[in-house]
Amino acid sequence: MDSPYNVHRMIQDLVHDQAGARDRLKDEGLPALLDSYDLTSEQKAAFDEPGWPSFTAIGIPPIFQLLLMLELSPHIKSVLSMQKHVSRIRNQTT
Amino acid sequence: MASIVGAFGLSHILFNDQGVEEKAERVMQGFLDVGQRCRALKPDLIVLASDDHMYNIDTGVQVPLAVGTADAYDTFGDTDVPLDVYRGNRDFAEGFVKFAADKGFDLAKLEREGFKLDHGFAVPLMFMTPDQAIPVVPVNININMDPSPTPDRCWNLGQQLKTYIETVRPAGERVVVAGAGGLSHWLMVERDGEINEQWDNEVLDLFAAGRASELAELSTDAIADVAGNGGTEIRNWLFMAGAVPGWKGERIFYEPMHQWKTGMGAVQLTA
Repeated sequence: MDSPYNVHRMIQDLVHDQAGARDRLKDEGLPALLDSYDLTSEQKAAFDEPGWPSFTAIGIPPIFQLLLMLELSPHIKSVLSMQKHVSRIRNQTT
Repeated sequence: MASIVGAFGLSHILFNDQGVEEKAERVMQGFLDVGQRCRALKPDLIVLASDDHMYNIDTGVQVPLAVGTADAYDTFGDTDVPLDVYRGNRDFAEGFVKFAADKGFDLAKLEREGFKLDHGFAVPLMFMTPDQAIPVVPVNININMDPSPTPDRCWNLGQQLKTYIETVRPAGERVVVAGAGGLSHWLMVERDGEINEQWDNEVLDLFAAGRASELAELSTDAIADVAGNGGTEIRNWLFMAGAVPGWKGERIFYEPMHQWKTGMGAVQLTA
């Protein structure tokens, strides 16, 4: 397996909105983003079928996989959201 | 001498309740109960062991065990956690790092800009100190690196915390120790989405019976086999239990949250 660090660095930049990664994904698309991090052909191929089997195969840790999926499919964020509970927590416990 | 006045183990997520309103309500009530019990102990500070979800400590620099030594901590805001500021306790935290160094633990230090509290820390704290009044010392156990701290290592670090509190800290200081994470869940690996309810119940019973040390004898891989990769967050609870060996207690709640892909629960241990 090729070193996965370039993939990791791409995820880190997406999560922290650094190095223009989010803008590149939004404006130029995923292939351009993958090219900009010098991913190997095997690593790029993993994104053809995004999911734990392909991402695990190229060395992405599980939590990083989740963060990556949140960037690629932002609608997941509404599922993993505690927003609805916040006011109740504040009101009942302060 | 200072003393540990209470200990808690609890899960550390809270997601959208759409379609699981009744189960989520039971989780909410459990968390609210934890918070009320914690504040009733009138702690001067909370030592909270949890794990960063690679928002701060990713693969660029991998740190197995770290302690927050800052005067304050911002929340990261993932999972829509509100952007709050929690007070730290630099004196306590710096002292613990020095104490542990003499006992075979080289702990990294985390400052405010380098460590924002993600949901793993922030969700428990929202219930334990909702007005952010109680200072917090975060202990980050990096379960995401390979190799990661073993269960017995986490237990032993908790024991050092106990000794530090009882021999170094000023008389009258009241400390609550908590471990957050779990319970069983398989995340982004084979068996993704599964929960092991039998394991979860056994774990809660072991902690409540004062027998958590038996879990510390297991390897990380052994725990992952029965509780999933996410279930190894129980190491955060083992740090807590290591600080209060022999303490028994009670289960506060358990809920298998299949829609959230995790078993959820909490215990309180008392002297």
